[in-house]
Amino acid sequence: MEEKLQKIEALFVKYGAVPTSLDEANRTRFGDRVIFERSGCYIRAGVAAFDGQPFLTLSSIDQLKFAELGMLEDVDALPVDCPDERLEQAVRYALGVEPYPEVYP
Amino acid sequence: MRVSFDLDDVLFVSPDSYETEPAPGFPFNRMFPDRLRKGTPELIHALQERGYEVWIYTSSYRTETYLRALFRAYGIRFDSIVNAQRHQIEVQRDRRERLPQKLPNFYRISLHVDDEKAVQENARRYGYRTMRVYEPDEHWVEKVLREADRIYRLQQEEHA
Repeated sequence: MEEKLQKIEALFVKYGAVPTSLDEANRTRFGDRVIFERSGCYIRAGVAAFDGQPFLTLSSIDQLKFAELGMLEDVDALPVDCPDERLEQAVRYALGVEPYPEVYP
Repeated sequence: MRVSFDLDDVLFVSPDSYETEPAPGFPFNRMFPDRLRKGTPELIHALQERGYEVWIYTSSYRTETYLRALFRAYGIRFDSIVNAQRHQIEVQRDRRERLPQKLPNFYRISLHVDDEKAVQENARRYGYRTMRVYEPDEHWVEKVLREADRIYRLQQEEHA
């Protein structure tokens, strides 16, 4: 899981996002991962369980005041065994590098 | 021409009382628990195919990010989203007079679809057009389309 999360964060960097020091206090308290920023889009990788099943999540927000509090919205959820190509596509969409297709997911 | 929709009890309805669109696949049905009134994607697409801009105008504080992600799961894209925060910043601003929660004419919205009677009453006072949708109605899609087209023709006449 950690390896996948690090892959996602490497993809953030690949597409021009930079790590921030936002929400450091809550990161320590709640174990949230680093928030990255690209052109006003704040994004973070994470894990969430739905019906007891873990998913990799991409959370984002486009307002600094919410990002400062770590309040990002889940915008995508991917299976933990998701292929790397699918991960990369999801990151491209979430960062706005590429527009979401008409039908998604 | 712009058409806008409220969310709660207009597009977001309870499946206990309304027919709803099938929920998105798992886990998106858990990420986005709000359910869409049956016919919503069909209506939005029909309006957009006519060349109308379709907006959301809600008094809720749901973020634009959340709403875009939710509607994406239903294959819907809105041209713009006004939530309570945006309304506060752009419409209410620092005015002393408390304006209504929604002022569609500020955004040049030609028709706003809402469930609240107060929105309908404010329409006369503040000079905007609204249509009330507030109960289950299997013909709601046709009614909204018909009203939007009627207003479009009215506007064409006004500008002729």
